[in-house]
Order: sequence, then structure tokens, then C-alpha cells
Amino acid sequence: MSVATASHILEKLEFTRDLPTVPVVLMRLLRYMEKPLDQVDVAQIVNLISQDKSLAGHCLQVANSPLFGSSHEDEVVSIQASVMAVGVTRIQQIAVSCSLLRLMPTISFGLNPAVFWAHSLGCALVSREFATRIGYPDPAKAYVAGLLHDIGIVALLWVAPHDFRRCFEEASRHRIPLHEAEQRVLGITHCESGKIIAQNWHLSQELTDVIVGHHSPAIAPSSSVLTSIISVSDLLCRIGGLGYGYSEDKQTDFTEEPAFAILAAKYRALRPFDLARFTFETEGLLEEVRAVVSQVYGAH
Amino acid sequence: MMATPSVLRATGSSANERSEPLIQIRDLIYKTAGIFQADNKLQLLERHCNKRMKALGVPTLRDYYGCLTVNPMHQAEMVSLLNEVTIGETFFFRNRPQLDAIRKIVLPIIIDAKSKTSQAPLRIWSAGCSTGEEPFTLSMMLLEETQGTLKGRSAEILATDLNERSIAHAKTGCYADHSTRHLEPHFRNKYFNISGDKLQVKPEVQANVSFSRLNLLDDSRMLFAKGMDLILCCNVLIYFDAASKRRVIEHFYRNLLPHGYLLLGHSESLFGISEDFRLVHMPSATAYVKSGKDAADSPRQP
Repeated sequence: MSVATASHILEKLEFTRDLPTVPVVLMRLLRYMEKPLDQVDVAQIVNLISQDKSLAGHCLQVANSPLFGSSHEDEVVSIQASVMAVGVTRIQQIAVSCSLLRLMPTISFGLNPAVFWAHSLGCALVSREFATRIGYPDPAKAYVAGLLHDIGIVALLWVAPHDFRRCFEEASRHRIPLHEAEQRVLGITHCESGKIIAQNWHLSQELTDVIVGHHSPAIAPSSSVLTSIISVSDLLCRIGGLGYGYSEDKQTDFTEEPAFAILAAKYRALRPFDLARFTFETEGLLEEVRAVVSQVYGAH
Repeated sequence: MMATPSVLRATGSSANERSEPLIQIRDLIYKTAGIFQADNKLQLLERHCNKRMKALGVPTLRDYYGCLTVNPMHQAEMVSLLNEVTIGETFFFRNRPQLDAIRKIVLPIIIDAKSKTSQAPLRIWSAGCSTGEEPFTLSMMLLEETQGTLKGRSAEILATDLNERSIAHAKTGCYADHSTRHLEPHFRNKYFNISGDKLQVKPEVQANVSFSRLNLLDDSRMLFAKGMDLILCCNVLIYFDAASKRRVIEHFYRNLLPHGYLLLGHSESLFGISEDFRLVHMPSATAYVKSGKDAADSPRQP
């Protein structure tokens, strides 16, 4: 039964035209973000974001939150001013995050769209902080990877919303990780559906590896470091109460997580690492994410 | 053109920009006490500092940082600040995520481990129980689970505190509105006798709990609290210096059964104090576990 469901869903993903097209703004932002900072045309980015009024509005809400280090006393009211306040790198991160809002179905199939966005945004921020802390050279890349790691869930919601709802109900009833419920119910997970959407959108190999491998970092050897950063951060978010809207009743020892072992082998900063402190910092960060998300969704 | 270097600032956190001395104070508290104030708690920390600064007549945070470091009375001032930070009060069901983690995750693991080895009762130690709200909360929780997770196994709670007056209050089992403000109606109605504005804990809740005055640094008396399945020690170690913390943690380690758990207060950590325990994460709570994978086979020698 689940084999049939799995092949049916994969077929739909491969051949259907129902797949969400990647928002133009998102694609262009992702491309800009791959450029070195000194080649970034700030005016172009400001224009791109400002043209889209609803995107710009969401960006300003996020830019005015403590999440992005807005040290300015007064609220910024234009994208141009927000670039001055928080820097161009962060405005791009904010804009990419807000353009993800566009991809979510407006109604809930178990998983609340606001909860999904909060998880993605939280994972992006935690990944960036964790990457910075251990000495990974490109925290901005970790941000984008953290943001998009669960894009496969969006794909499942588009092609098989009712099947996805069954997975979600199974996961929240048994308080188990969502991907385990997907495997049980559908025979595939959001990692596999994510792979198809990543290829469809021509995302970079590294991002694709993260999307495919964040629940099994050892199988994405070419990008295992980035995948492991996202894997650890994803787990910290789910443990910290910013998962998919239910809590997983289990205890986790990070030193036994393959992702943590991969990173510890590479980064001195993790030998030893004050994970307790990082967890408390993460809890604070996630509380702020929750506040911003309810503000953005409240204004929807 | 807008692309000046300052505009291209790629990193920098809100915390660092807000107030350097406040961050120093936050880090000092973590280093000396082991309790951490996340960025979203910094405003609150600043208010606590301001209260102390007013009492001392100190004008700036930078000067106050001096009071906590170079001033001859800096250790006493740290205690005063910690009293502000932890609010120095206790109430029923104080740390709900931690209680949920105990009930849903820790207890089933402990009972499973015990069922393989003995019929002994479940033993929990509330170390630093203050006026008794924490051990009575645990006692109610265990009564709820008697036929569930505990599978009929009996339970004992040892509750200790340094303060004689707190212990005397705890033994009465009598509470006012303030410390019972987070009690759900279910627990209030089932486990308390209410007369006027006083709530009296029912005898069946008290029956599981034995109170005793204990100094955690009293090595000879610490040896007696053996065979524990779970130790809760919240907002107590923060007042100890590093050497005393180590001593207490070593006692806890020895007093726990091989599968035993140590739970600290919210945002408290053992980093830099002990490497004997394994840090584990549960939903919105952390805990320290005695056993490694093979600890049951090779218990650590004291």
C-alpha cells in the first residue's frame, strides 16, 4: 500500500505541472547571495524587494525585530533604510525568508503554515549562529540551507495534501519525528520529495544535499559539513519547541548524533563545546522567532 | 551610493551592540554561577542590575561590573544579584517543561531500568527544596502516575534544604495564594484542603515526602542519601564556588543509581564543572544522565 502511495507521489512530483513554481524574487535573491559581498549591487536588491509591496512589508516587520540585530532606536520604514540599519547581507536573508511565505498553501493540512514558517526561520537563524560558533566559513549559506531544508514538505503539501495530513496526524499522535511518520505512512519522506523540487528549481548541489540528507547526514558526503550543521540545528529547533507544532517525546544525546560526530571531527570548537549554553541561547532566539512570526501572520 | 563598508556589515548581534558591560555581567554570571541569561532576557537582567545599582548608589553598568569583580565585597554582591535573577521564590508547578519531561520521558526510562533489577521504591531527592512546593509538586505527579508509569511501584521523595525555617514551613504543608497561583483546578481540588485563603496539602501527598535540613557541603551527611533514581537541584548550585560545586556534583553522582538522572534549574549548566554526566535534551528541558552506554557494567569508582 505504502509502496503504491510512494510511487504515485513521486510520479506526481516528477510529471505534474502542479508543483509550485519558484518565486522569481526568491530565485534572484538566491543567485545574488552567491556573489561575493563586494560585487553586490545594493540598489538592485533594494529595488527587487521594494517592487513587491507585500514582500517589502513582511521584510520590514522582520527587520524591525530583535532577531536581525536592529540596533536602531527608531523603526525603519523603507527597505533602503533597513539596508542601512541591518546591512545588506541580512536584508537578503530576511527577503529570502519572507519569499518562502508565498509557497505555503493558505489552508492547513495538519501542519499550520505559520508553524512551518517559524520552524524554517528558526532553523535558518540557529544554523547561522551554530555555523558562526564552530567556525564554518559561510554562515550566510548555512542560513539559506536552514531556511530551505524542509522544502520537501511544501512539495508534499502541493501534490498530496491529504496523504500528508495522515502523516502529520500519525506523527503528532505518536509524538515521533515527522519524517518517520512519512516513511511509515507514505513510504517516502520529505527528503525525497525535496530532492525533486530542488532539481526542478535548479538549486545548488550543496542546498540539494542538505534537503536530501538532513535526517541522514552521512549519506550526503559531498556536503556533509553543511548538511550536519542543518541537521543539528533542525534538532535543536524541534527540541526547543519550534518544530511542527507538537513535541517529540524522546531524549536526545547530541554526542550520539551522526551529524554532531561529523562536525566534531572537523571543528576544534566542538571539542569540547558548551552545548548547554548554546541550547539556552537557542531557546531565547526561538522565543523571538515566535514573536515575529505571530506578528507577520497576525497582519496577514 | 549606499554601498559603504558600514552598510555591508555582514555580522554583529543585537546583544553586542546593545550594551557591552551588560554582556560582561551576563557572561560573568554564567562563568561563576552556571546560569545563563539568553539575549531576549537581557532587558530583564538590566532591570535586576539597576535595582542593585540603586541600592548601592552605583551610576553605570560599567561601575556595577566593577562591584561584581574587583570590589572586596564582590562575592556578596554576586549573591544579591543572583537573588534578583532567580527571584528567590518558589511555587507549585514552577518549571512545567521540566515536569513534563520527567513525567513523559524520564520516569518511563527509570521505571523500565528498575524493573529489570529490583522491586525497590522509586527514590527522588529534591535538593534545595525551600518551603516544599517542588517536592509536593513531584509527589502529586507521582500519585497521578501510580497505576500508570509507576505500575504500582511505591515512591519516596527526600526533600532537603539548608534553611531550617524553610523546612519547618514545608513540614506544615500549608500555603497561601501566591505559591499556588499556577495550580490547575484538577490538582487544587484533588490534593488540597482549602480553608479561607489557605491551602493545606492533603496527607496522601505528604506521606511520600520526608523533609530534612541538610547542608550539601556536609560530606559526612551527604553519604547517606544513597540509591537515588532522580535528583532535582534547582537554583542552588549557582550560589556555590567552583570547588564546592564540584564536591556536591561528585556526591550527587555517587548517590545516583546507574540509570539515575540529575536535573538542574532553568538555564543552569554543568559545563566546566563535571564531565561525568551525559547531557541529554528533552522538549524544552535538559538533564544530566549518570550512565554512559556501558556505565551499568563498569560503574565509576569514587
